[in-house]
Amino acid sequence: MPNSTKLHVLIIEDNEGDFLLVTNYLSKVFPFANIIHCTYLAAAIALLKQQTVDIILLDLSLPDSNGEQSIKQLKALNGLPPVIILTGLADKQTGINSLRLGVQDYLIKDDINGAVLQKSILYSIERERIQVQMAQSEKRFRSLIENSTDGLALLNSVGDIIEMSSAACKILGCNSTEFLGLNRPGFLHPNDARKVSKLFSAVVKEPNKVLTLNFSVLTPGGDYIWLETYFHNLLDDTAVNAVVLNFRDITRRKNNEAEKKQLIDELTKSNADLKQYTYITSHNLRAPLTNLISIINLIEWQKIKDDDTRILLEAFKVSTSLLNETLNDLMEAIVIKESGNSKQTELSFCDINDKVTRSLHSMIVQGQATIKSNFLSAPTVHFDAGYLESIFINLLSNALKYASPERDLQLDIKSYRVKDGVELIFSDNGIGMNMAIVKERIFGLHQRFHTNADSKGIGLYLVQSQLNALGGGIKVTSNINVGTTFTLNFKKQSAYA
Amino acid sequence: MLNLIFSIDDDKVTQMLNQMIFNRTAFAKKCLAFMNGAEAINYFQQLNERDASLDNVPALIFLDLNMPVMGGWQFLNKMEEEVIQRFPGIKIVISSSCLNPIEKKQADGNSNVIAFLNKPLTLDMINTLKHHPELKMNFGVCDKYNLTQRKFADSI
Repeated sequence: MPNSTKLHVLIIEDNEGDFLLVTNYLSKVFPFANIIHCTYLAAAIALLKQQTVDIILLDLSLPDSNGEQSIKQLKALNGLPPVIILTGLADKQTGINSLRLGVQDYLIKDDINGAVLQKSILYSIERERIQVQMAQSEKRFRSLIENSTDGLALLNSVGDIIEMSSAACKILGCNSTEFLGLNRPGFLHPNDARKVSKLFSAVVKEPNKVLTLNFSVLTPGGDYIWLETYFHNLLDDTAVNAVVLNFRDITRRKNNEAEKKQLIDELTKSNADLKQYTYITSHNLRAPLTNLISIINLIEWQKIKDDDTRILLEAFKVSTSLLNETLNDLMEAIVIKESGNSKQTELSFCDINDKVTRSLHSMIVQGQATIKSNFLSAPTVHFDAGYLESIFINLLSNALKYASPERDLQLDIKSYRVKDGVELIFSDNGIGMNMAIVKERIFGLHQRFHTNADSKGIGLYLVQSQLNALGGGIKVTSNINVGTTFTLNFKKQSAYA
Repeated sequence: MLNLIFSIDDDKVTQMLNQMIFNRTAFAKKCLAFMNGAEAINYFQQLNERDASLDNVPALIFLDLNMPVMGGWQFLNKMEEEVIQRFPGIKIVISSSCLNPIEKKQADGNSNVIAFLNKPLTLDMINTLKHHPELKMNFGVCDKYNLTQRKFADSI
């Protein structure tokens, strides 16, 4: 500010006497001021284009311009410093009017003295500085609003749009506020109209209240768009005096949501249908099947004298019991898929292994199989007892089923502690499989890779389902005529759940 | 031997087989077959309490769960609502082909239900049923098992 730095004053004055008078006062209050003098407005304008000054003192009657004309010409310049009008007593009214044109002050020449001049100059410079700052801040704020992708609108207390930002115009596809407004018929979607007016009256009732709502409105283009809105009641704020409505277009998101919801609904329904279908199938199959089993139970075999009939009935019995087993397995598979409520406890591999080998004892003896087990490094696992037993039965009986005819079965069962849980390994020297052909299909439902009579293609599917249900997994490696190794993984989260 | 029992099941073959099993085990003198719960309820509605006797009120009802018109659960509710107080002492055995443990639990909660049997009924099941604490007085069997009701259910 001029106190420390040199003050540059431009005096535009054609009357030499007035100029001297002003200069005289100036030198008293601003001894170091640099005073530039122009007698013509044109000369002053030319000069201002070249250099900057801190303040302009402007006489209203100049040889080449007059009064308001002079002010307007000066105001047309960029970065104009503050202007103080110097006027004669007769021109007092012009001085007052000039304030409206953006000059900072007017001084009546006859009243001028050093103090008046000093005060007026300092005030003018300071006022101008503040006004410029405010204008810049306003401009910055405007540009933030105008360039934001969010729309902004000001509403009065009945919901008319008083003003809106350019982003708001873009979103609503309309430049005029005439056809927009919460109370304009047809603007709100019929489904939302009630909700919105209820919300709006709630906002209006309470100063500073903010409420948010998603609803759709009709654009002048004839399309409904979805808006996410924030209503902020600033009606009592004298600077704003409106309900500020902030909004953004969420039509695309809404459409995606609707699409997703429809997809989920369809999937849920078809899933429920499938479940129902499985249930009906298994139930409808079971009803006649139980009758078949009952019939077999009631047949008095000693009464059957005809050999052929007896053989046929025996075959009927075998087929029936096979059918029953398959159906039970299928039901079990469905139950595994559906049950999120299996009970997990700490189980000893050794106990389960003993139990299962005991129940398969005759098969093991018959096959002259040797089973070696070692569970020392990971003796227990946190798992469902029923599942684990079923897994042991399936893998053990598989090994027995697919033992090589050329050598006695050797089955190694081991457990290890690994980084993310426990691993259980079943390794046999059986007939093996060609992994290139089998691949992961081995765990599929009703996949059979041997022609064994009692292969139903469901055991490994069950094993995998049971492991997957509790967050584990199973892998297999195999070589034809060498053997097969199953590696089961029990995840830690189930181990310490 | 029981005087009268009901068998409620919509499957005619099952009905026939059940009759055969009841005959062979000498379980009941007479077994009336109903195709669904509503038919049996209707029977009770027609029956006057003053005429009630061992020959027209069943000692035991074998009940299927899955039936058209009126299923097993609905029948059980109807029995509690309007039949049991008129003809007390009727016991019910559920025989179902569904292996749903939740349903078994649900059946355990009903005081009139004395057993839950998985289909098909067998001669063994019916012979074991004769030892049930609620039924054994009707059969000349010695109580060699000495089972409580709960254990009995598990032993079938």
